[in-house]
Amino acid sequence: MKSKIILVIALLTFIQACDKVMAPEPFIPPLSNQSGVITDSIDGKEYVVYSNVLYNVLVAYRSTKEDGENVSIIESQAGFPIIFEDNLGNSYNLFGQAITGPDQGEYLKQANFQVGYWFSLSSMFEEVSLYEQDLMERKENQSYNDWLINPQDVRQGAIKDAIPALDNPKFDAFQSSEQSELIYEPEDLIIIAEEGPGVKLYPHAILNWHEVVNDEANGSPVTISYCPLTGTSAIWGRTTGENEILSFGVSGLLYNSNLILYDRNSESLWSQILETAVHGEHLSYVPQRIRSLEVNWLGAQLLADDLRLLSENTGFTRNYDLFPYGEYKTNGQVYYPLTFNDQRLHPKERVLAIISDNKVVAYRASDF
Amino acid sequence: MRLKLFFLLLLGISASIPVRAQTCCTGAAALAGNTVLTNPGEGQLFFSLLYDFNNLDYLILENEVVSGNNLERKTSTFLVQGSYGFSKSFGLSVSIPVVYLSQTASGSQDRIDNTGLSDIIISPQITPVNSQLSQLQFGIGLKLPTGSTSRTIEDSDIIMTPSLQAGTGSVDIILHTLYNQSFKFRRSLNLQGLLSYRINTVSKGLGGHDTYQFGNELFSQLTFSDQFVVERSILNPSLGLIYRITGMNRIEGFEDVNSGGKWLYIRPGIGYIVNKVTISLYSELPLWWNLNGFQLTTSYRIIASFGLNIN
Repeated sequence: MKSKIILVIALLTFIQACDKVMAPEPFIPPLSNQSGVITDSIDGKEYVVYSNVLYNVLVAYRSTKEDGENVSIIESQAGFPIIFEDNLGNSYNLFGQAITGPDQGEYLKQANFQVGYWFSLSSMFEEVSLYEQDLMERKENQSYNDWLINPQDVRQGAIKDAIPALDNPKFDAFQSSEQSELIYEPEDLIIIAEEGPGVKLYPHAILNWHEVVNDEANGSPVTISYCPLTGTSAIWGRTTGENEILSFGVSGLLYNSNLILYDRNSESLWSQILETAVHGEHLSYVPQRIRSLEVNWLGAQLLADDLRLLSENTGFTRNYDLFPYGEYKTNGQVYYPLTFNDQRLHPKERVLAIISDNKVVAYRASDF
Repeated sequence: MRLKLFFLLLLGISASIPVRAQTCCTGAAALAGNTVLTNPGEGQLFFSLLYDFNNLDYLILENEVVSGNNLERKTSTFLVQGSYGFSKSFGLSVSIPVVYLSQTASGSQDRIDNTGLSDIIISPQITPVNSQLSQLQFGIGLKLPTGSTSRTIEDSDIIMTPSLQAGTGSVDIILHTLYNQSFKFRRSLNLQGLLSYRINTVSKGLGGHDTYQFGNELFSQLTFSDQFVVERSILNPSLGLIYRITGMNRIEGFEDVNSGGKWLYIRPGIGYIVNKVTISLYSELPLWWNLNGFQLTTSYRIIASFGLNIN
């Protein structure tokens, strides 16, 4: 009888072993203090891209001032967060604002860009090329009646509002000179929005659990969104052309694993990466993109004297020290099938993608 | 000796489950305790209708119930079951589940629900020991992917999440052993031990995933019951303990860290037997759990059944 028991256990062990899937190696981010600037031209428009590995920043601007004057930009040696100098004698901070020089106070034009996992950005657009590499052709986008994307490629990750958005969030104010290392780990990423002379900080650690925050910045209604499955963030103005103020929630739907928001006013669905309403009353509406970027906690504290940090007192019981998806940030897992699976890079490599119409160029930290 | 054998087997199967075992939603997959039937005896057919209501509104984070939970899932399973004894030692049972699944989140006025045929289970059984006082049964069940796995949200082409699909899409194997022991000093007193191990295979396309695999499940149940004659019928109170371990689900080959775990339930019940009819009512209440990550789990479960023995 003992041999039969051993046989049963051996059979079960064998079946378990057969079920195991070989997992790709996890993505290991580069270890260096490297920073640099790349200037590039896409569709006749000049761009400047900045990378800093120490502070985990990737940000892009047009090499054009808001008054339309083109400038020639190089990396500043003045030290973070001053990142650019131009041929007119201006120095620019991380938000692309001239902080010294003849055009002090003016901004560089915003570039339409996204920072996130390679798999998500490479699957979303018709034409995606890596910096200084050939274009990779895709199938052309089709039209789908009342959708901008194929609804058959949309997945339900959770039901609507299962992930609760934050409304009227609380903030903790502190000075950059205060000792605040203990709040977050130096490498923890933070979404940054300008707020007067200071900045508002929205940690990924909180947004991993809420994904959407309906807030105000500089007196205007904005929504901050972060998708932990694609590593992408966005800040949009919530006021429409008809002066309607939208309030957003988490629809639970995903497109190429990326967050689809819904507005509570009309129930329209909005793609975070495409930054467009993809279904519903607001179909094709492009929200106002608000100047924002991501930087790690180490760098965030250097951005301004007055810092307002999104409070963990959200009204929900969550452990914000815990990342809810295990090893997802670095492993090869992608939850849902992609419309296009570009395997040139590890799926979780964090890249910056400049989006010019439907053409996309992606920049890696190792390009700088 | 037979008891020793039973617990040896329990220990052996437990040892083969990974310690990291966890799982979240098993969708509409019926729990083993509801799908294992005994051999009704040679030439006899036992037919039953079972209703299982599972209320999942405990949102668990690090093994604590999260206050202010905004999520709720309810599953109702109607199980049509038949068991036939070809001989005293060989029988066959079939379980046909139909499910109603719903999920809501406060803050949203929408409720997502789904109804449909779930996965049918066919289980041949052998009963090597079948005496007046004791019964030992082994079975190998086959769970067939008869339930839908790609049902879409109403008025759209969007496939519902796996936890709302009626089926699992996989062919699964359910091994079980059941031991019944009565006692000479009181023959109506019964001790029943049930041990079941479900091996879940990979499902293609469940809830829009390329591959999805529910974690394997070990289900063990120990029940004491007794019978009391009340006029011309029999009351059959029982008290059971259930210990259940499930492995992590695998999404596209990777473990879902918010799935699986270990649960201990208490299962009080009462049965009413008159002639060939058995009516039973049970509830299952969680006593303890140790779950991975962040997941919704059962706060209570109610099971009602109607059984008919046909010669």
